[in-house]
Amino acid sequence: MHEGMTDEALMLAYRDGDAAAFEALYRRWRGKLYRTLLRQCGSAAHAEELYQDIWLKVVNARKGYEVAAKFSTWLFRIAHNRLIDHYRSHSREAAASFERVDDDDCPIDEAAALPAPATHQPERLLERKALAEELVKHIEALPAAQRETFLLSEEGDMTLEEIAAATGVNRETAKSRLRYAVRKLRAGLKELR
Amino acid sequence: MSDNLRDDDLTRLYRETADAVPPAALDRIILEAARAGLAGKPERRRAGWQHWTAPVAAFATIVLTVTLTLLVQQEHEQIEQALPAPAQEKAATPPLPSTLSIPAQPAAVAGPRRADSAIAPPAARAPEAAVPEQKLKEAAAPAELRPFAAESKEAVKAEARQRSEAGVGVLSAPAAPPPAAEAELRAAPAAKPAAAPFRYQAAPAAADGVDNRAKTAPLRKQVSGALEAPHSPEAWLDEIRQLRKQGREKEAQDALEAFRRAYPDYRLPEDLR
Repeated sequence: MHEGMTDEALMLAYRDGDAAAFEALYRRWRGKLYRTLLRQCGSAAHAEELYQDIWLKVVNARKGYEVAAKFSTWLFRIAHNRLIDHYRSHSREAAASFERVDDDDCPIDEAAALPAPATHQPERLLERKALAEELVKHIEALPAAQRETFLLSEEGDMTLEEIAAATGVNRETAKSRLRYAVRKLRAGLKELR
Repeated sequence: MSDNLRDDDLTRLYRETADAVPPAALDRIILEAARAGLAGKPERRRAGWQHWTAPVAAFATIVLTVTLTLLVQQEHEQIEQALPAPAQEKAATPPLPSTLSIPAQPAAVAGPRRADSAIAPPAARAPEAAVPEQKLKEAAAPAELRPFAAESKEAVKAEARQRSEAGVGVLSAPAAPPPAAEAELRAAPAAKPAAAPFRYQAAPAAADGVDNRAKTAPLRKQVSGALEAPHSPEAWLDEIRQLRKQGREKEAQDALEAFRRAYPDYRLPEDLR
């Protein structure tokens, strides 16, 4: 029944009292949001706490919901703000990373210096799954702002404009962050291959 | 995605890791909360008494405002009642001879005065208002405490002169005499030494000691200023001319100096320069 509806239409239907619409919307975004948080926090416990907070904010915002942007942009905007709060109380360095507009102070060669897992053995890394796991570790080693931009692009399938809107920066900053993130991950994978 | 920043290999590889999902228990909690939100459950329940907080606060504000307004109004009325009191008293108090009869009932006079002064604000206790009060105090004082009763006008003038020479500035203001002092001057015979008015000033000083002289200094200034300075500069100059005509050069000279101090910008006529 709700398959053909856009995210925004589902949220409007939920606002108007359709509980099933919310369920459909939730099923669409649950994995993407959860993984984004999991990669950002590096801890399942923290990720679950944030995940619950974010969805409850969505539920509480139901009455005043109007379509001002894509639902995904709105959802990840809430997630971004909650993450900033989380970083402020847990990691000052990660919080500061969001304040930096220019990421040029993180030279691209840093990617080569990303810590390789001690247990890795080249012959095992030939297996695709293991390579994917290494990628996740490299993602988690990225500066928080670059990591968030990469995850919004991959999990949220968002454009640069949408990423900029969700993270509260301009498009060029979002673009710069994504470029640095992708370059570092490519360089890290090259080493592993 | 624009700008072609995406790496397809990277994306494909990343998607292979995308199997992490939230626990089922968490899903259940969130979906239940969503349904509860629709059931019209208030997000924040308020106790019954909390519904009355706004009306009670408004009522308390109104009561407070009205009370303060009434209090201020009442206070104003009291002040207004207290203000004309000195004038009435002044009119009721005969200028000089009455001082002799008042000592018989000092408490009766001092009582209401104290009550008035307690109610009246500082503004109501201006020097003008203080003159009748001084008079009453003086009247209440026994005659033996007034050793300066015979003090002459010249004595007071001399004192004023000394004070002005010492820089106190007795005549620094071109003083029209305060109403009370003026009334006293009018009541006193012009030719006679004005013994009684000066007794009012001298008696407290004598009774209370030297310090009281400082307390009563402003009053003395006013009275002595009233004696030395006529109503207008012209009248004062006429008085100086009269002194010269009578051959009282020293007094005329002193009066001229006092005049210059009182009216530094006044252009003296040729005959007095």
